[in-house]
Amino acid sequence: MTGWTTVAVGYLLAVAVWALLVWTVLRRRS
Amino acid sequence: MVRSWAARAGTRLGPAALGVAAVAAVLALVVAPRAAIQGEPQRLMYVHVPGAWTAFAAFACVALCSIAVLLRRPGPYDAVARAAAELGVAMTALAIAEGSLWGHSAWGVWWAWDPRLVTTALLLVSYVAYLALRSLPGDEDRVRRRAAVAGLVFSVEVPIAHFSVLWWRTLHQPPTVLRPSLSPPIAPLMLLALLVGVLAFTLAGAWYVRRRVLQLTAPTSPAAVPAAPAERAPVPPMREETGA
Repeated sequence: MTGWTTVAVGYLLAVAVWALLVWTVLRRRS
Repeated sequence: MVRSWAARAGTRLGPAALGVAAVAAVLALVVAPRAAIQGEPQRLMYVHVPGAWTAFAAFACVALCSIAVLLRRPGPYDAVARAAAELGVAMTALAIAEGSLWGHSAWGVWWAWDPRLVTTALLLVSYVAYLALRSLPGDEDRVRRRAAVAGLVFSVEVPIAHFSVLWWRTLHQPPTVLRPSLSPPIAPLMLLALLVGVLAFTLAGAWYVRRRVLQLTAPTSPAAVPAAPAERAPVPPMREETGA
């Protein structure tokens, strides 16, 4: 993987984990 | 007055976290300079370190709330401990994944049997077990106290994971900011991006814990309401036998 590809994978992973946490809270509310 | 201030501050956590996260992303990906030796992959530090910090803070929160539960203090401490443990598990997994990506770039391997990596993986397994322990059936009070003891025992692993890079010979670099000498060996713009990232993760973590606690303690939550008795088939009315 090139430098920026590694960075992109890492940041997308972080966004995915946070999106999962947010979705967990908002989904259970309804 | 303090409670109303806290309630108002709590409702603003989400927008504040989003705003700070946007600033942190720009600082990390655009403003912070390229690392001289490691190149672009070093930018993973701005996610890896805040993830680890949030996990450690969440597990410390579990320990403090566990003490409150064991002392039978009134308050939603059990729910806070559960929410913080969930956040801590997610952040530990993220920190390990980011570290693996970064390690592959810097060390040439995805994983190494290194003291920091092993103690962090142990932390992850321990708190997954903590959450599993909470879901075991049993008397509500006993489950709470059992979880509190586990939460307190597992918290010993947090300083071990943090100081592992100082106590043992390790591939992982020593702490950059939280080091004994208070002079971080890092470029000022890199330090700024790192600290803003830590702030963004902390605010987002606090938002998650608050929302989750509200959910767990809501009257309609299965965790807040004891299970309803099983439905029984209606008993047919007794009638006098009329005879054939």
